[in-house]
Amino acid sequence: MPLSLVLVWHWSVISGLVPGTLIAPPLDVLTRFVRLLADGTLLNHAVASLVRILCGYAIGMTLGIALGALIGTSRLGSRFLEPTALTLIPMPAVAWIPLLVILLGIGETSKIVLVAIGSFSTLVIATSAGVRNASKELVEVADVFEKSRFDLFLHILLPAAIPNIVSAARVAMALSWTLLVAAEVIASADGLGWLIWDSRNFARPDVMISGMVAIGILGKCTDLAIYRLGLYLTRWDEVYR
Amino acid sequence: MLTPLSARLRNGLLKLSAPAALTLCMAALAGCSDEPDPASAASATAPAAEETSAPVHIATYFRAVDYAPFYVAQAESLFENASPDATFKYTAFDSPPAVLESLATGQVDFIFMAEPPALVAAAAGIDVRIAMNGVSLEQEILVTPDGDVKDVPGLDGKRIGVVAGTSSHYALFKILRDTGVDPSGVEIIDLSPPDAQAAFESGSIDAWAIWPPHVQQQQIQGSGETLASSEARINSLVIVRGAFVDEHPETYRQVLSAIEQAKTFIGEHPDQAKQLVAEAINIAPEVIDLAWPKHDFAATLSDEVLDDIQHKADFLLERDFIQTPVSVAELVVKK
Repeated sequence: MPLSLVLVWHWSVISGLVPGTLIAPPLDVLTRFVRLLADGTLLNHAVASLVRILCGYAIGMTLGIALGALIGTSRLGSRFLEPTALTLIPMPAVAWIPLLVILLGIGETSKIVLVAIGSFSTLVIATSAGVRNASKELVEVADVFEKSRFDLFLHILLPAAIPNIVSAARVAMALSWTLLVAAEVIASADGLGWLIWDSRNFARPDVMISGMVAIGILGKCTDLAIYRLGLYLTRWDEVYR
Repeated sequence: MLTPLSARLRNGLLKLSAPAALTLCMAALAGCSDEPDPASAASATAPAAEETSAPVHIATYFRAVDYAPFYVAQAESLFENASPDATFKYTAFDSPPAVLESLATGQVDFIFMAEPPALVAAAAGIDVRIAMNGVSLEQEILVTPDGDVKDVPGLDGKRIGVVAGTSSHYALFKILRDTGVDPSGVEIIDLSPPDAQAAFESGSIDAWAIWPPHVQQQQIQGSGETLASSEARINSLVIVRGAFVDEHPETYRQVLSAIEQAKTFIGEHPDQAKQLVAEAINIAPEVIDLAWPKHDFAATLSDEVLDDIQHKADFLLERDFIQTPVSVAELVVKK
């Protein structure tokens, strides 16, 4: 499939179906990619992006799981927090940029928070739904044994939510990479998102697609890491595949 | 039940059908588009029967006071009157990539914009030409009224917001150099206008090199004041797709004639023109009043203007925004 896509891409550019001034042919991209890799440009941008992605992702995940758990376990939390959260979550993350710039400035914080918004939103919904889907019988057994609310959460509700959380974590990571471009347009001079935006602005399609390929590779690596972690965390859960 | 051979054939067909389906989808999308097809436009190039039923696409890059000739021509139906056989479609772009992509694929024929996007397009091999100078305007630098920057030398060591690679970026460097300030001694922050506004109003940047009406909006709000005027100017050009000039010379002349009429109208009826611009870009009339004197609506493509544009092309090359040199004189549509 990837080879077929590359062939279609090559043919589209060579045949003039898409203008070569906007979409570079695969060989040009490969040459540019190797050059950017060799001179350290891609590595520098990748490091800048990874720092932003991992920080934003960690913050968004932590807060999203915490708020989702609160909404899922507490009737009061659900009543007071859920309507507000569900109203804020559909708002496009990029629409927050002016407010983030005003509140947090144009440095790293605003970029990290923008990335965090994506994973936060995804995890709130997934965690609250996961907690609510816990087995009623198990909760009743915990009640019979007079387990504390903390024990109930730690041993029954949270494990029940983990499959949901793991799935959402993969979606959240993919979303974080897509938000990276928006985040790195805020007063940036580095990062793969910035590299893509800048090279698109100045009609350098070989650089732009090299940045896209780099994000694709890193995105695949981060997804694989989360997937493996998910398998480990849900090893008790016997499923079809 | 499928035999192993038929299963392999089925898998093979599935693998082959993926790119084929993708190609068919792309072809179908191209066919379904209501935008002009660049390939068919290129093939239908008989100058004698130049007029086509395809609409003439006219666009602006962002919305700005310096596009007044366009707004006036659009509001007064000057394009339609000058070229009754043609139909016109109007678009406003919000980002440079969309401008480049539309020019390269023939989806826009004329675009009103400052010099750099056209220079970037030319450097990338996109066939664009400079048709005329719509308006020339002063570049200004905004600072906060209660800040410690009171003149251009005071910018030394400060953080200045600007859209990188624009006329304002070049003009900022020119203003700094003309005043004896080393541009490497200031921190240039690349910010889009909405982000720069937020950064400026919250004090994240000390100064903002921007164009009207942002300058005047800040002045009227009381949140910004300008440093002393400079000689740095932005030329708001009318750019045309090269193939359009060759394929539709009569329509090209008619569109330019409509813009000239709009410029004359602006000179003769400034109050009415201001009102039309205010309505077109949804800006308060007092902002337009304040911005108006900063614009020279009678500007032409003089040798001085062409030199200025060439300096901007050299600046873009020197700063690595473009990779190939651009000769501005060669971009101008020959009479």
